[in-house]
Amino acid sequence: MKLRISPSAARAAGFVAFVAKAFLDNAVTAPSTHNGAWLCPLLALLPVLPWALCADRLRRCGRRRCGPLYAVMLALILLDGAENLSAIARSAGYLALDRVPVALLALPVCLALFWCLTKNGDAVGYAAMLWTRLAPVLLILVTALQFRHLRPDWLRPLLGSGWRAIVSGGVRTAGRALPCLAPLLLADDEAERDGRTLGLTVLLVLAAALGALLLTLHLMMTPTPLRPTQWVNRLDDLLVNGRAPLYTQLPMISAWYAGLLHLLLCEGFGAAALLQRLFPALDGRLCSALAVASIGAAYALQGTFGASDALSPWLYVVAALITALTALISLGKGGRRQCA
Amino acid sequence: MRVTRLFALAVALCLILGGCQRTGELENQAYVLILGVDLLPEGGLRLTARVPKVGNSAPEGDKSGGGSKYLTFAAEGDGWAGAREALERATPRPLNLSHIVLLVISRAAASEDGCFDLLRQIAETPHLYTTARLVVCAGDAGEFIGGLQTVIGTQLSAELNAMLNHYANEGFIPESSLADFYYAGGSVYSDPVAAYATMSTAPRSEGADSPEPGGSAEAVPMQQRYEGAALFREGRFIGALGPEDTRLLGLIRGDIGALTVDVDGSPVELTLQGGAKRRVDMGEGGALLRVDMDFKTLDAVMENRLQSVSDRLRSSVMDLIARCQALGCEPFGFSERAAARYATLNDWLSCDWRRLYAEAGVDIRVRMRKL
Repeated sequence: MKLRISPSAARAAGFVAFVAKAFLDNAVTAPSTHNGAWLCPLLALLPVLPWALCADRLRRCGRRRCGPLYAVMLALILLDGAENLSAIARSAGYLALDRVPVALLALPVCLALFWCLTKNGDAVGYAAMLWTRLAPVLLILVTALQFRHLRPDWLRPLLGSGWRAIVSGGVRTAGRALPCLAPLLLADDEAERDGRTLGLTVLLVLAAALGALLLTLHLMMTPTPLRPTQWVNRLDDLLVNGRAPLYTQLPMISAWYAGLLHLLLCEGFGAAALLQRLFPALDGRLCSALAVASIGAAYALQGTFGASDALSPWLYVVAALITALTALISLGKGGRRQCA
Repeated sequence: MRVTRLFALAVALCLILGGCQRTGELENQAYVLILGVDLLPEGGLRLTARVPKVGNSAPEGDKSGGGSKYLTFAAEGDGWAGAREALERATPRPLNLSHIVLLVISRAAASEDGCFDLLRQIAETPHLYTTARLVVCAGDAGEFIGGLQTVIGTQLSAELNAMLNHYANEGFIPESSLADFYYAGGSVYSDPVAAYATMSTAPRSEGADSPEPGGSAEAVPMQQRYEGAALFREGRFIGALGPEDTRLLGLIRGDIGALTVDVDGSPVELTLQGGAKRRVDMGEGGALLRVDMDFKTLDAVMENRLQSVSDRLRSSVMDLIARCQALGCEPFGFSERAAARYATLNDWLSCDWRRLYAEAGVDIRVRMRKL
């Protein structure tokens, strides 16, 4: 089985994963203690967009000499996938099964991830496409339910802790969001069935804007600089917030879980497909199993959540450098003619 | 197909691994509806919890509260964690805090320096969900809770929700939950407010139910009066507003949009158009707090009488703001407006807003229109 994904499916998966990651990172994983955090996804666009365009160009040029780039991306995905898996397991533990070890809660997610990956890339991408139709309905419902509690005043002063903190948050978000965009690098034109899709630049601008909008809504619910240190309290802030009665929490919780699952699915497919590109002799199912096992192992070895916080800004730098080098070598060896 | 079957089998195995041995049966939980917090003279805390009985069954041989649908448990301990643990021990079922409707804290406990830290710990208790309303009571929170009973409804939680919504909608108490208090208290903006309640020993009004069966028929039952706002400065209770001032506070904060005033002995309903417009002007001479209120009324009132109502209202609002300035408490929402004038949090925090607010001039404009 060859793991393939069409460009339109890859873009849909990347779009959903980027939004989910930008929100997860700034609202829960490493919550910003200032109210300018909503600018971080927009700022992350500046470094992410050139990388994405470069990756798309490399893809269209036939992906020659991309081995080192694949290896770096795979490592980033394993690191990031472990955090996403941890977020899902902890969310499950928060809601109902807080007395069950989180490692045990990650197991069904890993199995579901493996099963989805065996359906190949288009299933992942088109599931994300369906989610882009359903998610707005849930988000409108959540916003309507919480509307009277939203406090636009809490977004002031507008720049929060200042430009330095916002730029730092933007670079961190870019580093964290880069692994989500791996399917863009792996998309296969021959697998395309639909072909109708938004341009890459428009898509990423929309994703960043949506991420910023979601963060703005979240910041209007919780004032700065009140950001709890405990994971369980961060989820309390996000999913319940002390304002939503139990019976109105379902749409928010559904949106949260589905967003996280799509994020993990996108990265899981990226890991499996990258593995197959690195070792073409391996079967797709085996690659899927290895990718899921590796994400699970990375999660088990991860220790404390957020251990890679300090690394986050550097993730982008490493990936960007390797991508730029790969692009230079690839285009310098006649690649320009091939994809002109 | 084989993979799908394997997947289904694996998920089924996961369910077994996750286990159902720890499922919480409804009947095995003690759902706390009301929680009271009192400060003990020696420094600890006393928690009082009102818990509904499941199935409305009276314990065998119970002579005191046989017919009551609720049980009250109390326990003492050091701090929130210690007192909660003691309450867990005192309650014969696992204590479940996810359905608290009302959190009552005594005035003495709320006046302590550590009040906000205590309420923060309560709000951050996992699965407390913090949807409870917060009430500061003038006396002992345990006694306050002990006197609570259903008057019109049959369920205490429904009764409390309906009653508190009614009072908040009318503006007798501020619209403030534990979460609102927690977020406002921990923010860099305005001070939080909570509902204020007192207990009176006056006889119950005509038509009210008799005391709960089992209670002493001769005893005059306690009555809780929710009529006012508790003011806080830096997370500590510093004073209370009466019902009239609380309504004005509600108008300024945007919690309510209408007011009934007395004009020559007749009630006149005033509707606030577009909410109270708050603004803060910052100049070299200090800050100027501005409030613009544009009312309209459908009632037949003479123009000159409207002017006198307008003057009276303006004077009341000026008095209220001056009193809060003197107390150093800012519950109106001016801070958020002032913060908008600064680019960053550091600029805002270094502007010494508390001093500026205390010394600020006040400009109130009240307009009345007859439709």
